[in-house]
Amino acid sequence: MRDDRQTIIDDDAELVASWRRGELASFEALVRRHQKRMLNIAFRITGDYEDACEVVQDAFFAAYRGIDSFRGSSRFSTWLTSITVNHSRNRHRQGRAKNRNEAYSLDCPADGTGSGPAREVPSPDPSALDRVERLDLHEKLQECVKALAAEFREAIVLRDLQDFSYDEICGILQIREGTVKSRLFRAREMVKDCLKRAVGVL
Amino acid sequence: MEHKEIRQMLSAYLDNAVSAAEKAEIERHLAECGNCRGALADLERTVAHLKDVPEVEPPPWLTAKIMAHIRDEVGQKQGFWRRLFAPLSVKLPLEVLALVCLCITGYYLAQTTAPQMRLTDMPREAREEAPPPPPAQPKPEAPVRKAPASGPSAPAKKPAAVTPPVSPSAVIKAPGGYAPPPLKAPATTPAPAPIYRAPEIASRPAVEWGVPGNETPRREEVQREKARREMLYRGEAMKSAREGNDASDAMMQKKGVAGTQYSPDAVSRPPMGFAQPEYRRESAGVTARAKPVEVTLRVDDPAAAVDGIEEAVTRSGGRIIRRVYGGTDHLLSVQVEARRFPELIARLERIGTLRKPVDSAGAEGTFDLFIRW
Repeated sequence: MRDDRQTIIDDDAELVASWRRGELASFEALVRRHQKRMLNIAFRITGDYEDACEVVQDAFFAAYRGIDSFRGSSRFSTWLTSITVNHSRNRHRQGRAKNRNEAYSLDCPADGTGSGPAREVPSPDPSALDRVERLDLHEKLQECVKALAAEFREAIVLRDLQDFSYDEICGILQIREGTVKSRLFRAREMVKDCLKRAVGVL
Repeated sequence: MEHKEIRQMLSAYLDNAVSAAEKAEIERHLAECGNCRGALADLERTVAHLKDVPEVEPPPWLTAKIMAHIRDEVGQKQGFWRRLFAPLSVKLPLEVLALVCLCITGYYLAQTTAPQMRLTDMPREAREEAPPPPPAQPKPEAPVRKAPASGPSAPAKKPAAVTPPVSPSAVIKAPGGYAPPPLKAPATTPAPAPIYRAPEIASRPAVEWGVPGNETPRREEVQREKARREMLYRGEAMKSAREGNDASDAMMQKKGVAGTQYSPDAVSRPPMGFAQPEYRRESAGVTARAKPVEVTLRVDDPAAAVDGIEEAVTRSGGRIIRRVYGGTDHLLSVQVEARRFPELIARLERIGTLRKPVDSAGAEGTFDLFIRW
């Protein structure tokens, strides 16, 4: 286990300090540096690219407004990630609520144009199964992760996709290390089973 | 540790997030449990696949959009601060200038009104002595009249034997000390002729009530007589004017009021008018008059009653001798014929309520009446 709690070496410290002094260019540099990672986190948690883009915008905006609450006790990236995860979680929740509310709307029947909710009906196309078979392993993995409950998904995204340390995950998700371990164990087991079902042999 | 526990720890073991003792125990178990070894291998492959998932690229516009959003925010924030503070930099000099102008105006306003306030607030003695300075100012119209009026300056011209030294208390008692002030008002503010005449009337009692034994009243008497004749003439003129034209009458009265009403020292004078009626009788060579009668009137609005009371007096054939209109207390000194007195009282009762019973029995000819309200 990496122990970087005692000595936090933050590459962003200088930019953050400059931004605090009112340098907008420093903030822009931080955006450029972190937007990709934040977008990936948001994308893996929300499961939707457009939602992820909006989440990232909101997260950076929230970070800009809330810079005073960043005291430097953790890395800037960790702090920014926790904002992104929170926004992603909220977005995902809203999306699910929206789907649940609109799935059975009689006023707005699904017509495949995107205005109504997509109705899940067995595809009449016999080649659909083949298409699923041909799905890329990574896409299957994405589907498996997406199928996880939010708390497991967040843990596995942060640890296995973004390579955050256990300590950092504790800070981001505001949970104890034991909880991180158990969530990761459960999440990995579920993804493993999901993947086994999808591709047969790992 | 049991098999199930070991299985649960395999995930952390994979991340090297277990203690040394746990690690040793897990490895010991793995050596003998093929099931757990298989599970660990699956887990390793799953994690490897997960780590292998390619990252998505952010859209090229993302940074620009984020920064545009931030700049909007900054612009709004700056706009807010500009609204709050920027006007200061531009308008502050104007505001300061306006403030200075206001202060100067306020100061001059205070200068013109302050003496009035001071006189009212000052102790009685101080107030009595305050008026002498104005006579010192040369006033071409009536320099003789003013001279004896001022206590301290008059004795200087006369032998000490003739005139006993006037003590400050005597000065205080002598209403003569108030003679000059009414002239002050017209001197400072140029006004139409009627306003100049009004102070003369007002100053008359001061002349009449001069310090007893003073020789100068001889000259004063001439002046006073002159003033009286003038006043009588004016009274007659007013009467005839009234008969002819009521409107012009009212106008004349109004002018008279305007001339004396707000004279600063007039306010400080009223009490004296009642205190020394004897002086008047002693020094005055006028025909014997009955004892002055004081009438106190209760009205709702003292300021508004001024016109009505003055009109009542003039309609009843009375002559207004002196007007002392203060902030709340008003005093009108009039001369009225005894036979027309009930008529005046009846008129006054229509304006307000008489506070005490008026007894004019025994009065004959003309007598002094003080109307207070």
